[in-house]
This record gives sequence, structure tokens and C-alpha cells, in this order.
Amino acid sequence: MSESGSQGSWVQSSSMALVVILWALVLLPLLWGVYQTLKGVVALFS
Amino acid sequence: MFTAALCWSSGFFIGALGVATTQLWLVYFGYGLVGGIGLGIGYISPVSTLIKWFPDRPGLATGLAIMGFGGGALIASPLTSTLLSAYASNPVDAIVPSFLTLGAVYLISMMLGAFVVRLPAEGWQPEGWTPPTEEETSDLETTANVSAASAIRTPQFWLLWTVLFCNVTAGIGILEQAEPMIGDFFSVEAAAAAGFVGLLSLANMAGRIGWSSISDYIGRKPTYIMYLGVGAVMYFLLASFGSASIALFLLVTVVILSFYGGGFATIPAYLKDMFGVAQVGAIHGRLLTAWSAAGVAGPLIINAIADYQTAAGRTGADLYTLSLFIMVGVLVVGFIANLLVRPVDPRFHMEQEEGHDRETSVSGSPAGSEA
Repeated sequence: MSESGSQGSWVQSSSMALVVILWALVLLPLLWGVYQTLKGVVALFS
Repeated sequence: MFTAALCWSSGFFIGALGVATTQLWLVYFGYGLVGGIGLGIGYISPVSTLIKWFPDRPGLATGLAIMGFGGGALIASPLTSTLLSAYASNPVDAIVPSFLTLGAVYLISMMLGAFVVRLPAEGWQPEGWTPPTEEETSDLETTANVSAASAIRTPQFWLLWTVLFCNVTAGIGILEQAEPMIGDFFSVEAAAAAGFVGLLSLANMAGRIGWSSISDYIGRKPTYIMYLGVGAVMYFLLASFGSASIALFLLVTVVILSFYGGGFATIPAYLKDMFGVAQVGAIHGRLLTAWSAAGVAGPLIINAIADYQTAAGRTGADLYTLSLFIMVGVLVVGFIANLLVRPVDPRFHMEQEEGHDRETSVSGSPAGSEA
């Protein structure tokens, strides 16, 4: 019972880690792209 | 998604070969045809998959997926510029390595996505949520399913096709001419004009997730009434008073572009409401021919009118007045088409068993029910 419980929590935490890594892979380049675009937008108002 | 990854990245590799061997037809074939097929498949797959993971918030789901498409453009544009300047002092010499790098980056990232993304298991639903019954849903929200083959025989499909066509044509009206337009309206410098294009890209992306999520609360039909009705008013303001103030010009164009993005993102959820979730990806694919048609019609209209106005000796904001008023008319046509949308006749509904024969070929095998 406890073995299956610890196995379940390991699966859950590794799934969570995968979700975090994948979101980071998406968000980091996206934030870089938004930053680069905003740098151009600043020229519009300066 | 596996096929999309292969086609899209192959497009870059074949395109690089075409540039390296100075064979232009290879560039058209690779980057245009093969890459284009990958783009189309890759656009639809996440949308239909996410709708199934978020049965309680389909607008949010489609907004997330299609915002990703808009966000990709925000990454690709500066990334391409960075690669072109990093590989060689002359950008022409950097095209081949840039294409190869982009192809490899896309192949790895899209394969990662294809590996992770799964359809939910049959019967899965979010915790604490129960599907609404026919009585609990609005008139335009069905609990039945319509096959893709039947959907294109319904007037609703062609009304929504017209809605998307008009919304995209009007959006392209601004996008196509954004950079020269702000220059002609206000004589701004090239860097500021490029910044304006960037601002429109951000509005486009924000509109995809923002307006589409809001459509979960106010309904799909009212959302399109806003896109097309308020959009027509915005175009009218732009044509009539756009050159009076740069603040008004920016405000109006940002709203128009947010509606353009929102129109793309909300349409799959509208389709899900009208035709059910079973074959929404296939129906969405057929509806996106409206995007292709608008991609041809929009620039043709805008460029032909701009040439005509230039030949007539007009300058500045006057170059665009007629085009902008035509776009008001285009949006009014879409507005009327949206008003005419009614629930699908039950004779088009699939049998219960057919409805369970879900789209598994696009996104792979279903995920476990524990998710």
C-alpha cells in the first residue's frame, strides 16, 4: 500500500517537473520575443 | 503533430538546399509547399486537442493554442534577425545556416510537443465539472456532434466561413499596410514605424487569449457581434479621423488588431458550440480555407486601391481612405452573416456511436484517465 503510494507521488512530482520544464521552454523564448518587440515599440513613443 | 514537425522542419531544410544550390523552385517547394503543409497541420492539432482537455472553457483552450501561433511570430522575427547578423556580416551569406538552425530548433521543439501532447481518455472530464444538459446550454451550444462531411453541407458552416473571411480580410487591411500607413499618416521615422508593427503584433497576440477567454462568459455570437460591429466602427473612425491624432490612430488600430487575433482564436470554440467536439479539428481545417481566401483577397484589394489612389495623385492619409471604408463594408457583411447564425438542424447530427468515434489520428493515443 505504502509502496504504491510513494510510487504514485513520484509519478506525480515527475509529471509536475515535466510541466514546469515545458512551460519554461515555451515562456522563456516568448518573453525574449516580447522584450525584443517592446524595444521596437519604445521607438514609436520616443 | 509528428507529421507537422517533419513537414515544417523539412521545409526549412529543403529551402536551405534551394538557397545553397540557387534553385528557386526548391525554395518554393520546400519552404512554401512542404513547410506550408506542416504549418496547416501544426495549427489545427493543438486546437482540437486542447478543446477536449478544457470542455468547461473552450474559449480559453482555443485562445491558448492560437495565442501560441501569434507568440511564435514574436519569437521568430527577432530570432531570424539575430541569426542573420550572427552567421555573416552580409545577411545573404547567412540565409543557409539560419534556415538550417531554425529547421533544427523547430524539429526538436515540435517533436517534444508531439511526444507530450495526448488526447484525454474517453469520458474524462475536469474534476467537479459535469457536462451541461441540452436544457442548460444556450440555443447555439449543442451537446450533439456533426461530422465534418455533414458540417460543410450546413448553412451555419458557410455563415461562419463568411464571418472569418470578413474578419481576417479587415485585419489584413491594417497588417498589410501597417508600416507605410503610419508613415503616410504621421511622417514618422522607420524605427517608429517598425515599432508600430511590433505593437500590432502584441495586440494581435493579446486579443487571441483575452477575447477568446471572455467569449466563454458572454457567448460566441455576442463576441463576434463585438469583433465585427465595434470593428466596423473602429475602421470608420480610422478612415474619418485617423490622421487627426496619433493617439487615436494607435488606439483604434490596436483594438482592430486585437479583434483580428480574437477572431482567429474564438472560431474553433464557435465551431465546437455549433457542431460538437467529435470532429471539430477536421471542421476547423475546412473553415480555415476562409483564412487562405482572405490572405489572397485582402492584399489584392488593398494594393489595387493604393495603386489607384497613387495614380490619381493622392498622398498621405488620403491614400487609405477608400480602402478603410471598403473594410467597414466587409465587416458589416460579416456582422450580418453572424447575426444569421442559428442552431444546426438535428438531421445533421451524428448517431451516438459515431460521436464516440473521436479524432485520434491527429494527436496520437489518448492519455491515461488519471490526468
